Amino acid sequence: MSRGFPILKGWLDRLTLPLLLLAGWQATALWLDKPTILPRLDAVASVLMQPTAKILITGSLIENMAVSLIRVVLGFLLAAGTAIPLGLAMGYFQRVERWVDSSVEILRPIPPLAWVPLILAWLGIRSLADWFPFLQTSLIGASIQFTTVVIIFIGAFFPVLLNTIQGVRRIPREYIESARTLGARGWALLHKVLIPASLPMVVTGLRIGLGIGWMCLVAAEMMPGSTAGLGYLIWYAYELLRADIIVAGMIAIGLIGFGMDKGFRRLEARLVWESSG
Amino acid sequence: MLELDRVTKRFNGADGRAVTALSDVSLTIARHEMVCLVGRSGCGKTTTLRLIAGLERATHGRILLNGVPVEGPSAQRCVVFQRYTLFPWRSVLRNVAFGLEIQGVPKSKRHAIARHYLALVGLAEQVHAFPAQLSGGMQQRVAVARALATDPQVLLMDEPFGALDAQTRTVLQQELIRIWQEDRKTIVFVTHDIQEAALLADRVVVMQGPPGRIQAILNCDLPRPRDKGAPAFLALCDRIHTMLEVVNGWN
Ligand SMILES: Nc1ncnc2c1ncn2[C@@H]1O[C@H](COP(=O)(O)OP(=O)(O)OP(=O)(O)O)[C@@H](O)[C@H]1O
Ligand SMILES: [Mg+2]
Repeated sequence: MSRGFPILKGWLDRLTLPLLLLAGWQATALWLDKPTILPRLDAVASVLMQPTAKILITGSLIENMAVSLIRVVLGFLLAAGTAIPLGLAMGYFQRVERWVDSSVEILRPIPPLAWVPLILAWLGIRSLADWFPFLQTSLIGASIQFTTVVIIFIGAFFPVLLNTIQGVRRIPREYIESARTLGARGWALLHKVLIPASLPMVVTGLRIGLGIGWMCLVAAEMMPGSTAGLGYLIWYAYELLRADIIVAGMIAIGLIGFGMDKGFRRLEARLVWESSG
Repeated sequence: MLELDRVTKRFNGADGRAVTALSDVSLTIARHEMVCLVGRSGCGKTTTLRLIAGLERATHGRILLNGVPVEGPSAQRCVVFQRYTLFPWRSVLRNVAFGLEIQGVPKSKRHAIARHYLALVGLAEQVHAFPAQLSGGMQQRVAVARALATDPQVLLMDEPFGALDAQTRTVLQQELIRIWQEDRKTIVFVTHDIQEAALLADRVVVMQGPPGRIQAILNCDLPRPRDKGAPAFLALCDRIHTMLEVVNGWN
């Protein structure tokens, strides 16, 4: 009891404000009685509790989540797969850095969403299904437009790149030099020293990149051409004045973003050897 | 045999001016010899070591190991630094096995060799620990074991015990002598500490600079183990001390 009490108190401190806010929300919603403006919590909950039920004429909550997740994961993997090698090269070889740095610095401040019109002009609303016809029949396959994937790619690319460069630069030169006098060169130096030594910062970059990619996604899905995904869902629900679905969609977006961030933070915590006691 | 043949090393300093770190240094170190480099800060001790390691290229002159010019780093000439020596993401065992792993020695064999060298430095128990879990003295022992594991001809040590407390330092000095007497590497050992140089070295090379030059070479033929209280030892320290004072113009 004496041990449980402080923990209980901690939880109380954490939960008091959210519970008050929720109660205030529900009370206001009941009093206002305008579900198109402020939905009741039970209405929101019932949307969330039936994730497999078809919503309006779009797919179910789960299907829309899947579409969003696949888009983000594809864009993110594309970003990681290009930004990490480039970052390693830029961090290690001053020559590469000098070559690429100015271009990166010019492109980096452009918000990912500013690319949308141009990318739409280039790629239109083509999707994965245009390349792989067998995907045509599935909602998910037809919904992975290149445009959204490219927007997420742009959003995730720069944090991963910059963190990788920093990760390599911050490697104490003793690590690299010890390895070289132990006979390591080329590929062995890269994957036995440079990559593990920079990994903690790379993972931080991946976490930030995934977070930004996720935020870009929701905005990108509100653009023309999108016919599925959580961003599309809440935009579509807005047109039909279904605030309960909007809020449910927002909660789903928040929870997924939170979960991805937490997962990466776990990974990061396991990679900090400096303080591992 | 390790030869420095009229070696000059110039760096481009931060302000764009050339810094001559070593000027026309010649030194011949016999196989199995333990040589200590002493001299005040900035006189080019680390630069000398890095040139021998192949981590820097000489501006003029040549460095030869058994008559073969040094072109770059190799497992023949292994370095033990003062700090950041170990790979923090690898266990002690895998740190020591690193060089063998690079050479492609199979896992069971390289781990057996690594365990042998860890036992040699008194760390048989700590094989699975990570560097962050070890004290500074233990970390330097691991670094020595790692350097020995690939069986290099030359061991280059840059103030390896400089960051340790006096007692740990004394223990590690004794261990280094014991290991060296068994293993007989050629050792080039950089230190600020006159006693350390007198305790370890066959010859003490007193440097001055910048620009770095060799001021004097003192033979230390006292039998080992050397007694730090013995008059001959104190006389040796005194000679090194005098040389350094002459160099630095404190008289
Ligand atoms: N990479 C470098 N770039 C420019 N100058 C350098 C570089 N490395 C060394 N120097 C210069 O060369 C000289 C010798 O440096 P070195 O590190 O060899 O001295 P040291 O004897 O090891 O000194 P300490 O006892 O402080 O370690 C110094 O004047 C130093 O500023
Ligand atoms: Mg030095």
